[in-house]
Amino acid sequence: MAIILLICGAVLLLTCGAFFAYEVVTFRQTTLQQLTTLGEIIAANSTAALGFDNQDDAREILASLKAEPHIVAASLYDKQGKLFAKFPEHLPADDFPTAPESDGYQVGRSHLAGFQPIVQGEKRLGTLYIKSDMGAMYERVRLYAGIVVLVIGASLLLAYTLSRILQEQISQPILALAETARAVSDRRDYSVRAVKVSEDEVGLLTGAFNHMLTQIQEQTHALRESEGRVRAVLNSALSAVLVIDAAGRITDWNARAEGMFGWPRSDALGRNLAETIIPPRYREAHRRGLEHFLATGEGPVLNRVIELSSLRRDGSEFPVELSISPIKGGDAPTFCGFITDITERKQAEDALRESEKRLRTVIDLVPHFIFAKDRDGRFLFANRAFAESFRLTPEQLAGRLDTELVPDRAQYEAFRRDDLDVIESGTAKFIPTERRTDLAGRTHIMQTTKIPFAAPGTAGPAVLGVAVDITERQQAHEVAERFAAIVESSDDAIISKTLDGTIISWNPGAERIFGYAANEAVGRSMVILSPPERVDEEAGILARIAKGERIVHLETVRVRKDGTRIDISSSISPIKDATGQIVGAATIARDITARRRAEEEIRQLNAELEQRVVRRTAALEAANKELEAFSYSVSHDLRTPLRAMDGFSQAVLEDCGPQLPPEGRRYLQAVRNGAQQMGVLIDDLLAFSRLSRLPVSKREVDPGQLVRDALDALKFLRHDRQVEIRIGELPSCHGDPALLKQVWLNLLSNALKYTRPRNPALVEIGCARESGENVYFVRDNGTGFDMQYAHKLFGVFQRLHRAEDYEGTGVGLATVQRIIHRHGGRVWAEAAVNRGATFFFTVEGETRS
Amino acid sequence: MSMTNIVEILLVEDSPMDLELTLRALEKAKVANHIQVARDGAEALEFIFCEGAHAGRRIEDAPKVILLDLKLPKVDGLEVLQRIKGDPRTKSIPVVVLTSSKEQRDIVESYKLGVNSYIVKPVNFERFAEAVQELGFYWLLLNQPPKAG
Repeated sequence: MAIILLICGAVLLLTCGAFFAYEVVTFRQTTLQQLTTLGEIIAANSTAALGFDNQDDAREILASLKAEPHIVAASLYDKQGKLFAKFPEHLPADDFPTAPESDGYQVGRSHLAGFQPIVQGEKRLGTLYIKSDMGAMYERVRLYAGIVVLVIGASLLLAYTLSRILQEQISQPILALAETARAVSDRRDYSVRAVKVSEDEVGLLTGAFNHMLTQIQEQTHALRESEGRVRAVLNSALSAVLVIDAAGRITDWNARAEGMFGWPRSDALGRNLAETIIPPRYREAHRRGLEHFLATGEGPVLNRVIELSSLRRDGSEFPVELSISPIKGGDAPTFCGFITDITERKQAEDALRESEKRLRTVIDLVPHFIFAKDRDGRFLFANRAFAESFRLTPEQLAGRLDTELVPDRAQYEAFRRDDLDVIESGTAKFIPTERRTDLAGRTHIMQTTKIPFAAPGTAGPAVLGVAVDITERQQAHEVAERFAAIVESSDDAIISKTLDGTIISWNPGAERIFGYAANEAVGRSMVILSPPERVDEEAGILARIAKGERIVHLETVRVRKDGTRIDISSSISPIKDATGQIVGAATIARDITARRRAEEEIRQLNAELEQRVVRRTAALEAANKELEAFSYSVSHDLRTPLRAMDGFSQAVLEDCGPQLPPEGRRYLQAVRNGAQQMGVLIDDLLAFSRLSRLPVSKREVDPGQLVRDALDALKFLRHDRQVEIRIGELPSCHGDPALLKQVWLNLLSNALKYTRPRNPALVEIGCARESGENVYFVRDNGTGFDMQYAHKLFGVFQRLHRAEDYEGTGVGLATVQRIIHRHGGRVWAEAAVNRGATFFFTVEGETRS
Repeated sequence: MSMTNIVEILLVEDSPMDLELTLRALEKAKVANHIQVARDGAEALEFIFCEGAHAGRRIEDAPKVILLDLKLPKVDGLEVLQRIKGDPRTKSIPVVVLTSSKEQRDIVESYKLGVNSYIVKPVNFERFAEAVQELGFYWLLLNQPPKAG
């Protein structure tokens, strides 16, 4: 209501003031105009007085001003500015200006005064001073002021009365509404509702207001809940959460921050963040970073997790992980910081690093291969043993591909397969044996386990492998298995025993030989096997074993479980432990009962055989003797009559030749020829039979030499002929040189003999290697023979040619065959009639090239 | 016995045919005038060692050469040879074995016993005659025996 009254008052005051001002101004202008006009009239009237220097006229003229009560003073000044006349007369001259001042009128506080030039034509005659009293005007102003006060007073009274009436109807509900709004804003109590009193505009406003309040209430409620949640979240966050404004002042600070930094929220809020939690040495950097962000909108620490040292209220420092995000929105940027105390993590990391270092040391100490590879076969890490297998350090190995390191392609591919198996299946894989060839070319047998592996700091799955070189173990295992198999399958009894004779192991062979099952024998004394008269033998054996002796092929008698006695041959060796100490003995025993029997039988058979051989040899010797005597006799006695036949035939020819008819001489000659032929036959036959009796004395023989000697001896067969002889390579052989020479002689003489019709004759001598044997041959281009008679070729006295065509006894090839057979070789021939013949022979046991 | 009666060749030969042929050959060769023939080993030894029928003969009057067959009745040629070469009085007498045997055994044995030459009688008479002629020529004319006594 006061406002209304004030407004009314102000409006009235303004209106009255305007009128009042207008009145004053108008009055002053009117007064000035009147004064100017009066001045001009006086000035015009005074020209004469001044022009004629008539002070009285001037005084008179001025005295006329009496009619104007508001003129309080006037004066005239002459050309020189000297006071000329004044009005009223009684006023002393001092009350007037002593000299005229500049022309024009001026309004003073209580007077209006001015100087008016007095001009006649173009000539200035002097100046008029005139001064008017403002009393009239003030009188008027006072009157106006009184009227204004009255009007304003009446208006205000009226306004007050009217507003009192209207307020009852209009302002009251609005005021109530305003009161409600005040209550809401004062108490933030959005549950208050305004009372609706009418259905007019105010009623609508009240309804809208209440609706708005409801919404605000809901929103506030939701906001509070959300804020409560956020705060709860912030307070329950493991990280310290704080918010700073652009000036770096803390505007929010959660419970964790309180605990972490030792600053209660109430103390922290408003503090400069840098001075609160940042150690002095980092503050400058923090400040610069903040400035940098504010200037550019970016910063290196924003939206990233960085590690740094932080400060507690008590001055202690601790490591934290910090991330700062600018929060946009609002005029000035704010920043939200998340800080995690990583003291424990740091300690854990240090511990982890330490532990990792220890682990690394351990891994490097492990003699087995430990490695990790990614999907591409690139080594992520490896232990020293593995790296050194490639002559690299673990650092050098990391990052290399196994393709460039593993020399053997098949092996490399097997590794890859296993790696990918593990990576793709995600399950571990055990590879019981895997071959790996080292740089020196030795193949190792590895036993490898590969597991899927997520290597820290690498993307993608990887495989971790541990490979153990089991080559030696495998070999040892194989050897042991082999030994076990040998022991298991041995027909011999293999028994191990302690030095006091207690049986430790007992193989199936022992079970068979001695009749005790292993479980019956093990743990008992070896003495159970000894017959009563030999119970001391075992102790003696063990005493020798204890001294390190080895007993070989001890033949003795033992008793089976069933009481039967058996002959055994046993070897007993000391068993040493790893330190070389003799701890027991191994017995290998063989049942030689059957062998003994067999030996006995053999001995008897041998004796019989020897007897038989003696008898046979004697018989053979006798036969040989007879044969010798026979051939001696033949040699000696058959020749004598032949010589007689030849000799006396010759004697007849010599002594009685002339008396004989030519026919008779020819017959005698035939007798002689026959006798001589017989002589040759006997010689050949004897030589042939001698071959069977003489021993063959073998030694290294050069067939080339034999051939040359034979050809030399056979020169007479070719001295008047054209014979081409080709001698090929003839490897040496092992035989009786004299006999082999006879072979060559016979074959070559045959070749020369049967090539007689050929010109040139060709004789080829050589050797061919056939299925490991040296096959010597003599080839000619002579008359050859029909292969259907080839089987007769080597028979004694067998001839394929007529005697008158080719001389000979038919003993030559038989001799060759006998010699070759006596050497253990073979002889054969290939030929065709008129197409030459080839004779082949081997000498037994000759496989040298 | 005069020088002319000194036996130049002792021919020991049991075969009458060989004997005749040998003598014929020697004759034809005309190398010897005095040829003493012994028909078996015993007879040959009696002659050489001046025993029996030849008791009156002096052992110093040794033949210039003895032609000895090996296969002889009673005492065989090798034994005769052994006796001759085993006796200091006779061992310097050249002994030529003239035999049909080509047996290596005989040849070896003969040389072991100290034979001076070993000749196999060829069946062919011409060659037999040549051989006899040559050996007569050699032993009777060319060979210089040590002085007797």
